[in-house]
Amino acid sequence: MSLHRVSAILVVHDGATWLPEVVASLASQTRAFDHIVAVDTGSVDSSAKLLKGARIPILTLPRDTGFGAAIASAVEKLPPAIENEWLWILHDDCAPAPGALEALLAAVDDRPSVVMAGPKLLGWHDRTHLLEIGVSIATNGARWTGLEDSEYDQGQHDGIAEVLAVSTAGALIRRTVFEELGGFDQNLELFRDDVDFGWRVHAAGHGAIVVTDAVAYHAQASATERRDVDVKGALLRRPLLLDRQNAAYVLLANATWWLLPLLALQLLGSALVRAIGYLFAKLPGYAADEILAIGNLLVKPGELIKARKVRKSTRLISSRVVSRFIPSRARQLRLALERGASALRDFILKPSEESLLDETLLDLPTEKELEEEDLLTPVQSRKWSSVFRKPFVIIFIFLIFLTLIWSRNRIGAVSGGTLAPSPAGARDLWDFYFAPWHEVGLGSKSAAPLWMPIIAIASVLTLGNVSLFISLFFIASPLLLFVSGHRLVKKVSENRFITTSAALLYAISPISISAINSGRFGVLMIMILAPFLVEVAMQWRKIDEFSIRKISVLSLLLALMFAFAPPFFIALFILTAMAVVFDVIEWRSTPNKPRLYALLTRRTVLLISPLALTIPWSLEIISSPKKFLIDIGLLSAGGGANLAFIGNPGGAGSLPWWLISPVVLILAIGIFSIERARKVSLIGCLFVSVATIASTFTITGKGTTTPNYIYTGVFIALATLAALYSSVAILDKVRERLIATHVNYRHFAVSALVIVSAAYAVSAISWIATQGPKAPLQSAQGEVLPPYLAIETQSKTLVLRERLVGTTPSLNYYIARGSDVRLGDADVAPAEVSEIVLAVTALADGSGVTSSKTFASYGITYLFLKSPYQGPLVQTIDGVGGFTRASSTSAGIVWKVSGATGNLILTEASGKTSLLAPTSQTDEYMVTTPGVVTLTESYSRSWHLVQNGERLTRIKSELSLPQFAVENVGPVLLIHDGSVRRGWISLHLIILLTFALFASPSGRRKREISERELA
Amino acid sequence: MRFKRPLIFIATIVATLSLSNLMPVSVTQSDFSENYPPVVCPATPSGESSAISVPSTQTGSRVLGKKTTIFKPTRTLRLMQGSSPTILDTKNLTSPVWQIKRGVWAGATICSAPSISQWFVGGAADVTSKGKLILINSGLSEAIIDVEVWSESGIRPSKVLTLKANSSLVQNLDSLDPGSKRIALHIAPRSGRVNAFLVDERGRGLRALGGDMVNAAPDPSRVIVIPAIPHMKRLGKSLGHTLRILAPGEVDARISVELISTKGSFIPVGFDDRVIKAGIVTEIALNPQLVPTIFALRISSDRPVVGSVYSSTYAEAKSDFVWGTSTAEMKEYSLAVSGLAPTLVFTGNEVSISMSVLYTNKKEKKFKVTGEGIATFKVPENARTINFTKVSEKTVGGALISTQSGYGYFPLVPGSELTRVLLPSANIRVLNP
Repeated sequence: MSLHRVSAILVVHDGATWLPEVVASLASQTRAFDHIVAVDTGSVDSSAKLLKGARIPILTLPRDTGFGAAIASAVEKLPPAIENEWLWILHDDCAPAPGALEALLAAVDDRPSVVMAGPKLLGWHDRTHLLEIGVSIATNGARWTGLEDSEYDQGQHDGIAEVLAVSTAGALIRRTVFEELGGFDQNLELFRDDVDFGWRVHAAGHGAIVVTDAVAYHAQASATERRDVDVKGALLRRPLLLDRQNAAYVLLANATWWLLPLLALQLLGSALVRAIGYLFAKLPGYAADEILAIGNLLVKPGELIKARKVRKSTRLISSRVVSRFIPSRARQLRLALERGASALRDFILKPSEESLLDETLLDLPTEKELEEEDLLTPVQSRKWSSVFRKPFVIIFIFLIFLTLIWSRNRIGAVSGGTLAPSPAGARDLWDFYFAPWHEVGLGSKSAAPLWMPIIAIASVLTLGNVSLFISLFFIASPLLLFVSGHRLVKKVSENRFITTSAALLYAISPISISAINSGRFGVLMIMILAPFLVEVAMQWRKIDEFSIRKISVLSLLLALMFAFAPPFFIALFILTAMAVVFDVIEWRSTPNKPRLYALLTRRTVLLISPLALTIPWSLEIISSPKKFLIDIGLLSAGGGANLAFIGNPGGAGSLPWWLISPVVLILAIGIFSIERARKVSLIGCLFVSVATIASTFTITGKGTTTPNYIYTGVFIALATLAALYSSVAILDKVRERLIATHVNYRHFAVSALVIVSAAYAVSAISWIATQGPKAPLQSAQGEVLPPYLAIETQSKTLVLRERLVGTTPSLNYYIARGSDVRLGDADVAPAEVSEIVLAVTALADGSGVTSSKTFASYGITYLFLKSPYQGPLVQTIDGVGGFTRASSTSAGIVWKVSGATGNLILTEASGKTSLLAPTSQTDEYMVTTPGVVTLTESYSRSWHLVQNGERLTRIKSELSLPQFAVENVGPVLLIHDGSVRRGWISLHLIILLTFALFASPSGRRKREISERELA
Repeated sequence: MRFKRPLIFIATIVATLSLSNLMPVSVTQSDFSENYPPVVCPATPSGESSAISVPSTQTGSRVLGKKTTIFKPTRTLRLMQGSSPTILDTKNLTSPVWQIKRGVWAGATICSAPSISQWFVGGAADVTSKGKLILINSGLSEAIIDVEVWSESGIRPSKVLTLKANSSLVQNLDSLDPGSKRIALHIAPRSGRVNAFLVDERGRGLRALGGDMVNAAPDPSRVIVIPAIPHMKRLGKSLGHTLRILAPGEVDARISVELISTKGSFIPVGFDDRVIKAGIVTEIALNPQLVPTIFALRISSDRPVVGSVYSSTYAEAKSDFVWGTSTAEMKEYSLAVSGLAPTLVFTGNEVSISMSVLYTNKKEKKFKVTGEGIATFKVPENARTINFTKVSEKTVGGALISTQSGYGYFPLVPGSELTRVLLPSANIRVLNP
């Protein structure tokens, strides 16, 4: 017979659901308790009746009584304490297993320092689900059990272990110590009182253990919102709020004083992060709980101070004694990573139905092995070698080799074609994106495109190295295209030979070759992302059934594609217009106004959202609609209409015309083929037509005044995608169909398709291997500006350069600002200034005696003729005057423009001009005589010159430059006001976050989660 | 209808292709500005006089060194040149300059556009020499010029001369390579619009030995042709010639010299497979047994060479000498000849030259000159311009002028060629490596 006396205290609060089993479990204990008292805190259900039926004495307390107060009241009612008396705290939703009390007592028997012991808590419904084996608290206030989500109990944590605390559900506490420490803190009316008590136990020099031989099943009814939280201190009766508030209270009341500021910051920070997470999960109530909990605690510091005093009076050793139970940040991070990896593994390695059916892919045991093995053990392992028999893997490996050959001149930072050299790091892209003024040409206030921050974010994968990311992107593009294309077509056919072959053709299609070779990552992004849209596009007619979340996700995806390829909006517009026409036709035949409105509303949202999600950049495109036809990056010509008609965009790096792809042939056959191929082929043909007609026109812009044939890569990419889908749809089970019929035109059509596709694949691969590396996109392209000009970052240099466009020589110029063109420069390049155009033309034809004056007026300090150049041009420039040769090297010839020129030019009343000298302060210049100061940047209302704290009057000069009248000598400060840009970015963020909020998966309140899921 | 769908499909294709191909969209990647650069005529050194034959009285001219850059009409067909060089806007017509030191010597050259490379094989820097190198910068920026000098001693270190904008410089040859008897020059401006002219004047003590303007030769090549060399006799004795030749590379050249005359072509004794030392200006005496005539030399070499022929002349009772220089192939162009009556000499395998002569009375007459090896045409006295309308392939030409003051030669090449300058357009791609 045990020497211990056990007084059981059962706290009941609307627990009728669980009480019968709890009472039964108490009655079936192998070691019966000596006393029992039930505390009913104003239950409104049949709890009291059930307790009376079980003949358990009841102490009834008000409904808002906290857990600690209830226990304290019960202890008062117990007989006087004896030395070995234990309190067994029980919840009305916690049923101890029959041997629980006996095991707990056995464990504390030979551990005199242990004053708190708890059982292993398992789920109420799923009794293999491990809930707790002791409990602690993380420094961010999270309840820490050290267990994985829904961890299966297979005895892996069994044994007796020291812990910070155990849950009050089933906790055995030595009564004398309980009373010495003042019981549970009654400020913690519910939640976290266990951790707090455990902490105090340790600080008083005692210990707490978990005894896994003792088991209890806990429903966690209050925490999972299965019942109302009515305690007095529960603001708004919100369990989460109370839990977070109490967590913070426990940390701040028990921790060492010098840790308090850090803990407070950590609590606040983690509360904010969690609140944002809840907002994205569309659980604003929980988000508010997080913030209110911290706020509610911090506005009442008196309670905390009092609590710390109380703890000080009972503390015998430092409160840091518990630090070994507090999980380190590394441990928290490791657990988070393990949870993430587990979720990812579940997502990726989810076996397909096909793989489960295909026995050849399984590592099935032999008959002998079967005899030796336990037949009841399920065989799940798969042979690694089987992976290499899959067509997908074979072609993927082949593509890797092809890509390596193709990219042999792209090892390193790549540029060329439409791709400008990348900046050093992601920070440069961010700076460029946020900058209100771009030093490109004569300066530009254009909004930086949205793809820049996207690239900056993506370059996290390469530790912020943008050029490495872009190089890897182009190297990996064929593989990404293959995977993306295959993902689409594997749903169309189960024949993996057909699907992988089609995906290979997609990866080496004329448009993908052209896009890779000419550095068009926008078109590549479209090709990679578009297959994800096809599934949705198939449901285009039923868009009224789409949820708001689905529409939001689609909007974000469309905006992403638009940000990388403005022509994509035209494609979207065409598809939307077609869909609206069909909607109206359908509505006229079967009138259903609500459905029509729902359809039109969603279509409108999807059409407008890419524009809204990319402001202010999209506004600039809308204000100059021709920009809808220009890809991102440097402007580069396409190959014209006839090439576009055969599915080849043409232009630099494209396949020659005689290498005809099967794209158009597939689309043509698809029109006369089965239903699902026909619809897609029609759309593909539509895009081929759009591409053909659009390719006829020329376009200028992006810092280029030379007309270029429009590059219709996006339309051809969509047509190619349609061909990919159609080809698989046509060829799927075609063999069976052809065998079943007499020879007819279908046999010839399919034969032609297969032969043309095979011929194209062989010839395209040969071309890629031999000519691909010579494409414009290459690494180590060198520099345009020689180093001695590149260091003059404040100077403008007019660069003249002869280029070959095909075989035609072309003389081009542009104003450099101390560097070559960089990623994004072309997208914000300002419009050409007519005065400079005239001056450069006059310079070249020898009539430009005033060219140097014009250049000086715009702050152009140097004229650089890049090698190779025409001899007569050099003589012409030498002859016109106003330019002094500064150098002549193998890089080219540099002339210095005569006269005073620079960033700020002061013109005195006499007409004499001089440069304003900068002072030691940034952007500050010294005015030595009154006059008119001309800033040699494009005119913008955001430019200000401040003298003595006042903004000087700004006017627009005849040359469209900002001018300021300076009447007093002294320093002036040059400012560009970025408020407008900041405003637009803020608006953009608001719109983006709104869509992201709607697009994020909705979280569920705990009360909405089924009990089975909760365990 | 059974074929409705195929017909619609075909019609769509036809419509798309028709629409896209018939649309009048043209793409021009490059614009050109075509013009004939103004030509520069050499300065007239002190004691000499120059006359420039201009094609029209409305030909624009301006004098170098003046601030104004405006061209004014010459108002004459024969412009008397001042001491400063003259810049002419002759368009596609070439103006020869006839420079004389009255009663002492005469020489001819053509007004030409600035060049980035000019070779001169002629002149001397010894005690007999009074030769001058005239450098002209007609541009409005400073010019820096490399002057490379070869002589019988080899190549001298390159000399760098700086010439202010819109100015000229006369450099005595004896200052470039004092004492050298055989000079060859390469003028290569690093910057500026530079023309160079060479005057070779000789004298021994007070006795004048004659003079001439050494015309610029094209860049060294493996085959050079000197089209017009006058062969004369004085007192029944043939006047000699000297071939001056330079292989400016680092490897010796093996040359073969073919003499082309109206009596046929032959290689004179000692002129076949002759070695010319690299970098050394070599002179070879040439005394062909010919009746007084005009002949040409075609020099073939295994290395690029430049060369010219020094010929003593005696005409109109006046002794002089003339430098016949190699020249480029002839092209269709126009030549002003007012006041001159040169003898045009054409050399080629099959010479066939069509030309029209415009007289001072504005009448025009067409001529055709044909021949094998060499052909000549004496320009009428009252001719104003000659327009070479058709020129046979691989034909080179030179003009010889004989006056009481002396004998002169100039090559039949245009002074200013049509220059196509690309007009620039803005394109940010120039900043993309």
